[in-house]
Amino acid sequence: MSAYLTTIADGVQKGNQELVAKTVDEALKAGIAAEEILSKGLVPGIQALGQLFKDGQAYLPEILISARAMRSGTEKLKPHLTAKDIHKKGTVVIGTVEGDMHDIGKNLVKMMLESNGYEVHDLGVDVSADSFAKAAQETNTDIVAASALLTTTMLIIADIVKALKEVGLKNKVKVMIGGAPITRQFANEIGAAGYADDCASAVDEADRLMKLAA
Amino acid sequence: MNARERFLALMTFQEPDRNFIWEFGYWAGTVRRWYKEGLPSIKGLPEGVGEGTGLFAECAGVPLHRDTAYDVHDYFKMDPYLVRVPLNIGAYPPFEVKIIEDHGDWYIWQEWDGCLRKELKDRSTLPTIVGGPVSDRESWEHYKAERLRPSLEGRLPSNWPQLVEEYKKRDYPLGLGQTHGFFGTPRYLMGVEELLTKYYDDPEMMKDVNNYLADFWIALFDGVLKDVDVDTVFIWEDMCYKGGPLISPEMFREFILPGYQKLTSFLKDHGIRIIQVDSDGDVWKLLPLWIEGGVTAVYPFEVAAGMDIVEVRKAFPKLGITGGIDKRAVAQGKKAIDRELKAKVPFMLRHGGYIPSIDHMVSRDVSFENFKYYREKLNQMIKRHSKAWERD
Repeated sequence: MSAYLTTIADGVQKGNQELVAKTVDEALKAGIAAEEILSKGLVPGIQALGQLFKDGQAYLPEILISARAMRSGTEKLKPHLTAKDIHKKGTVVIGTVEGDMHDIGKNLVKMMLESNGYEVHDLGVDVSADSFAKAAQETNTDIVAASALLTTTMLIIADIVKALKEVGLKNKVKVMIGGAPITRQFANEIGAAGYADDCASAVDEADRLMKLAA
Repeated sequence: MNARERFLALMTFQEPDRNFIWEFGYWAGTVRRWYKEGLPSIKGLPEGVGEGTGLFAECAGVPLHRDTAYDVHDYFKMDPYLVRVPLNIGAYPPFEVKIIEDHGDWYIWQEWDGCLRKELKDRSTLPTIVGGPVSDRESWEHYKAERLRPSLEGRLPSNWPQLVEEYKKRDYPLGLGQTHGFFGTPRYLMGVEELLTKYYDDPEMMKDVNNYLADFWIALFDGVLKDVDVDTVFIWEDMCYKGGPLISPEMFREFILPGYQKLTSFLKDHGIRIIQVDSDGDVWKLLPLWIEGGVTAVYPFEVAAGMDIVEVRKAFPKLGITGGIDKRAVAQGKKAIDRELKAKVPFMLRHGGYIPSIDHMVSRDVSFENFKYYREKLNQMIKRHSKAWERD
């Protein structure tokens, strides 16, 4: 692998946005294809950091600066990438459930999904079950990802599963959930196919759900 | 023993006459639910309190004469409140409270401390912090010069001399500290994401923030302690989630620990033996660091985040512990309550240094019937482990 790509991957993993932006520029000037810079430099960098996070060797500050470094690279690549260059893993509609204003966890999941090849439509906070279902229809999404912080608001997630059923998307769209009080058992009880403990495992879970749907 | 003597004995691992009949607190929506389910409404709830407002109870501490969920306290014949000194240890003069952005059902508003909160207008749920008055060195220098002057002027209520006289005659424990901490306060100043990246972007500024906060709080506490002695100090962090700490233990050691060491040395020099930290989430990795920083007790040990107080007691035999009883079990019903209490409370009472309580504010999915059952069973356990029980 070229030294440029190694430097870019390392820069993303360490959250060095200046180094990543500069090296992406240099790699483009050296004739390396934008698609290759993305798939062999930026993405491996964020994946390596995600693994460190799952292993308990990286924490949220490292995730944030790493994602920021990745963005500095992708901004440079955008003018050089065509739709066919970008391997989109899937589409995700994401939001925090109705009655809940917390979005840090949701934003981190969004950041990691985008960095790992998902197209993410962020509905924000305090999102009703019907709004999740409507957005799922409009975006032809593969996954609806819902976050809840409180034991009271987590109960609303069951309404999202019902709302998707009502618009005929129960079998097509997988529901993935997370948040402080959420457990895998709760996900099973309400018929949500996916559950993630944190932003890094959310990527693994989304990948698993996409395989199930294939 | 009175409540003050009991508190001091309990949290320093001596033998109290009995344990406390105390709770951490309730969401206002929970108390309103209980009114409908049989809790007599005599004093009612404070005016204008939204469903998502947290009402601190006995062990979390409430200032004298401050409105809270007194009907619950009275109905369950709880022990006297731990009282917090009403010292403003945040911004003074306060910021103008105003709406910054209006989004229909919700808005972003500026609180008195300059913190920007995103919240539903009906206040039916907890707000989230989206920013604050500090974003860089310049705004930090400005903020500390304008709002964090180390003087008690304007920071104590006008009836302070009367409060001091009441405190001197007290039979209840008295505590210092509000929502302040070496992670918690910077989060209010900057917002979470800004704070988390600032440790990398401007580490020297972050060291200055915590060094200044330690000196600032010491100066304020020193002024109060000249008037009255206190029994405990609270530090608020909420710096963990169910996956563990928001920052690494190494980052804690570099940026947070020095502030703890400076502040707790001062407190211990002034005879304060009980220093408590409040953090939700999975706090396992931070417990040794807090202890190294001079902290003697931690709460509320959220079970949903994976905290098990029995395991904590085994690992840290001399750490004061409050809470740790799963609110979800109390919501589920009698069998779950029995299971939860039996698994934890007798062991914890035997080993001391423990105040039983639900692991955070009691949530709205807990019925009055379930809470009554939980309290009756818990009180029976406390009674069985008491040397003296004057309550019947």
